[in-house]
Amino acid sequence: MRWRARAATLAVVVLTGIVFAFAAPHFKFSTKITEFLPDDKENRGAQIAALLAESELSKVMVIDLSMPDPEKLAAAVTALQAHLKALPDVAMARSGFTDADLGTMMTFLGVLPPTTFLPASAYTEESIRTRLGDLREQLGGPMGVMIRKTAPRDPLAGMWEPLQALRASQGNALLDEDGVIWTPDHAHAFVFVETKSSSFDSDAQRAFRQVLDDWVAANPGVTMQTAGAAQFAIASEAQIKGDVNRIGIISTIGILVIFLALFGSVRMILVGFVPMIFGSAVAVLACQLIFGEIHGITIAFGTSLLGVGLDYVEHYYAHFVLTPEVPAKTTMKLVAPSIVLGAITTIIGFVGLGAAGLGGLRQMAVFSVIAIVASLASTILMVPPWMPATYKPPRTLGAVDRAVFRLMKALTRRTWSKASHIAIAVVAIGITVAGVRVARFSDNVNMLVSDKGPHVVQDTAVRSRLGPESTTYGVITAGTDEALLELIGKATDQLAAAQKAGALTSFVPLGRILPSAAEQVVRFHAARAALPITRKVMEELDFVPEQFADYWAALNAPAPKILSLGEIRSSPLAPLLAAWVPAQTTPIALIPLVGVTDVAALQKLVPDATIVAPQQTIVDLFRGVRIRTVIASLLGLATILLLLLARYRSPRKVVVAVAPAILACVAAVGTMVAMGISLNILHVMSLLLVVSLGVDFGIFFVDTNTSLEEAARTMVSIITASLTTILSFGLLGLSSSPGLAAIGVTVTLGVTYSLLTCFLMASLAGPKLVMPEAE
Amino acid sequence: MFLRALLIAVVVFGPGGPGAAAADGPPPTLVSGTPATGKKLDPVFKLLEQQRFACKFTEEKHVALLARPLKSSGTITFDRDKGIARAVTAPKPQLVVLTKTSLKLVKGKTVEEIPLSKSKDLKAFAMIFPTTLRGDRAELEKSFDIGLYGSEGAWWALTFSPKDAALQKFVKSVTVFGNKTDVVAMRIVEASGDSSDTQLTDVRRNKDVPDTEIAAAFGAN
Repeated sequence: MRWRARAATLAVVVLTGIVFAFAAPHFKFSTKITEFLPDDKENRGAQIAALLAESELSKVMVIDLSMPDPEKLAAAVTALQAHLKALPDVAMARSGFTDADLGTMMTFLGVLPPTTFLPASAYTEESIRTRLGDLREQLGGPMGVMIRKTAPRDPLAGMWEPLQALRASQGNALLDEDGVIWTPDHAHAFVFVETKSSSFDSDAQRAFRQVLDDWVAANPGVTMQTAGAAQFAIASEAQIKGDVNRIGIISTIGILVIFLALFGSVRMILVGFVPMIFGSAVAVLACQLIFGEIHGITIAFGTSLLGVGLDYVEHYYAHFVLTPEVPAKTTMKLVAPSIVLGAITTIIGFVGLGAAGLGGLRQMAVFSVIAIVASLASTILMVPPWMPATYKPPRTLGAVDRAVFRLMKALTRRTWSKASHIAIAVVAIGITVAGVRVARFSDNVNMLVSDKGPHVVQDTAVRSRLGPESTTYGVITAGTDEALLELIGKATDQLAAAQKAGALTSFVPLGRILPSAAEQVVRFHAARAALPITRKVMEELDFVPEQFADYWAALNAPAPKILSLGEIRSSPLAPLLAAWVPAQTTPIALIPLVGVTDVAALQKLVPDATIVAPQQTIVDLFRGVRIRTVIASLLGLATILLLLLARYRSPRKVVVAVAPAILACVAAVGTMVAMGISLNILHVMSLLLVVSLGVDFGIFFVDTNTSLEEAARTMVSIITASLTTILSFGLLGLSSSPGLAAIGVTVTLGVTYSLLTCFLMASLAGPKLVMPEAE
Repeated sequence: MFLRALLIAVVVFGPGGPGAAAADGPPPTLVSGTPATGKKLDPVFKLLEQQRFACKFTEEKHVALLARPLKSSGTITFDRDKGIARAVTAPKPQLVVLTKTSLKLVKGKTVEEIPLSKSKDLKAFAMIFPTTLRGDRAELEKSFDIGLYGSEGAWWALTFSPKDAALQKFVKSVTVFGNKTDVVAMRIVEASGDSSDTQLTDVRRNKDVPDTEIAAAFGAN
């Protein structure tokens, strides 16, 4: 029977190993920051944040080249562009606009009706006179030769409107000279590149980075810096790999040492690792299957979860080792209800984590739940058959057990008065209230990346050279391209009025570049209606109307040729517009705004666009997520309480079971507040985890204390579990990723306090700690 | 950038027209026959080489779109180290300052500074007049076919025809007219057939152009 169980265990482990080995080459890892943006489908802010994160603005890498000689630098920029364009993974590589680009652009604009870009308001006599006066002046000025070519077809200079709008939007921070974008001092030149692979595909981006590094190595004298999401993906991956390796190696060694010291059996050590390895393997396979990829932070979190996965084995081992005379299977029957209940409460906690509304955390929750279920199943089913038939526990465990027993005896000797209990409860509540009042919450979280490191320094330096960045956007979404263009037109007018009112400094006047079809027809008819006036003013200003035959012919056409958004997207203007009207499933326009001081006030002036400050939007979104998480946590806690009440049917036992968790949370928050840490969404989520783990301890404590000896054994298992958990989460707390560090610090503090609180509860229970089976 | 450089050059050049030279202008048959090329141009370029140069100008631009020519007048100031400044005083004040690296346009309160293109051909075009006043034939021949009619001892005309096809789409030729050591007129013929004729008067050279005038013309440049 025992051998059959062992064979079955082996078969499951080997099969899992084979499946894992075959699947491993197909695993896809990701470090997408967007996974940690709230994905509330009903929330427009969330949609916009996601769109901004996925937009052209985040896809383009800016390569900043510098060298002392501008002539050589210009040659280097040209050479790099050619080099990049030849790469199969490069979708776009450009710097400035060359003469050829400009020529192509002019050709494109030149075949459109001359009315396409000129607003209907331009066809009043006054406006026509002004425009023709300008034309006359320009014909004698620097632009004369060029204007001369286009004027016969476009005397009112409509085709120059979009170019003027684009030029105005570029500002003066950069120069565009002969196809190269420069800083004004010619010390830096820029190449903008977009890869076909996602910016967050760290494998592809690492390969692309290597190409860049090789190119720089082959071009001595050139210094390169970059800005963009890709370098953050690479840095995140390296950081997560470092964390995983560090946590994995050190915690494994630590756990081995603890196991060896306490259980003294190589076989038990090897068997003890099976549930957590099996749980992790199943969780990785399941996540790959469910999500199509696994986020790096899930792996890092999962690695630290290994310590939690060991809790069940440790609880079982502690009882097995300290009562070797009881058969392994029987011991498992004794502890199984506790660890199943503990697992269920932990799962409830992770369900709360998954309900927080962040894709990345949902994946972490799914991973954790699957890992816990698999670990639990393997602990119950796979471990007992492999326990040694004859076993002599090492002295260490005996010594620890005796020490804990003495401690427990001392702690439970005294009976605390009811008043003492009430006083402690009042103090705890007081500390909780004070802690919550003093606690500072920050929703401005940077969950995946540290704000230090060369990639951040480079990104900041390069972006500072590109000029002032828009921190606010006017975002327009619509059902169709045409509806989008109509809204863009309205919003552009509203923004122009708001600019005059001083509500913003500047904006990209997209409406001047992207007129809707309806607007183009209106303009055409306005121009046609103004033909007699145009001719009259021409004659008054010494023009020869017959020289403008092309213009008259264009206006005599039955209908204008309509320029669609699709055509613009495939036109020479596309590279200039891609960031503002990205080709996405949902027609969307992002109008960069500069100098907005009061978003709410501007929003009132511009009803046809949603005014968004992405950083503030994300903060607002995370505030919402934090509140939801707190609610989910409270609901989870209530569920756990109901579950425990159903299980124990004793309010006293329920209080003992949940007290360590709740008191640990209060103490952890108090400690972090005292340390001056601003609490964020991840601290809140981690507290949920602390509740789950603390309740596990409480359940173990309540379930196995029919005698003081058994209570001591349970405390030994809790100490062991705490040590392994503290080991892994403590290491996570040292991560340079603020998000992982927040989880690590909170859980480490929480578990430590849970352990201490178990002793406190034992003391408060006094002689009543020992609860006969009958109760 | 090319177009800017090109058109700016046209403005900087501005001056022109033997037609405006009236009785003391070049003979009507000056630009005819086969021009001299290559080293035969050196004596004229040698005569043209200046440290400083200042003059008044009047310009007539004949544009087919307009019933009457556009007229303008002002001053031109050249300094070998600083570049060239063309100040239009009528009909509307406008200042164009061209250095080796940039072009500054001042019109009313509006100041626009445009870096010159890195394209050698286009830069050469923008710099025809200043380069001519530097006597640098080799530099100009990189981008233009240059022909000389007449000789340095009397009336002469230097014609510049762009080699670059892009440039040819806009400009057919530029002709600088002179008499012995004096540059007296310029003519630009555009590809469209429009032309600019500019006449130079009150020409002063080198020491006759004081530092204060250079400073006033170029300002911070």
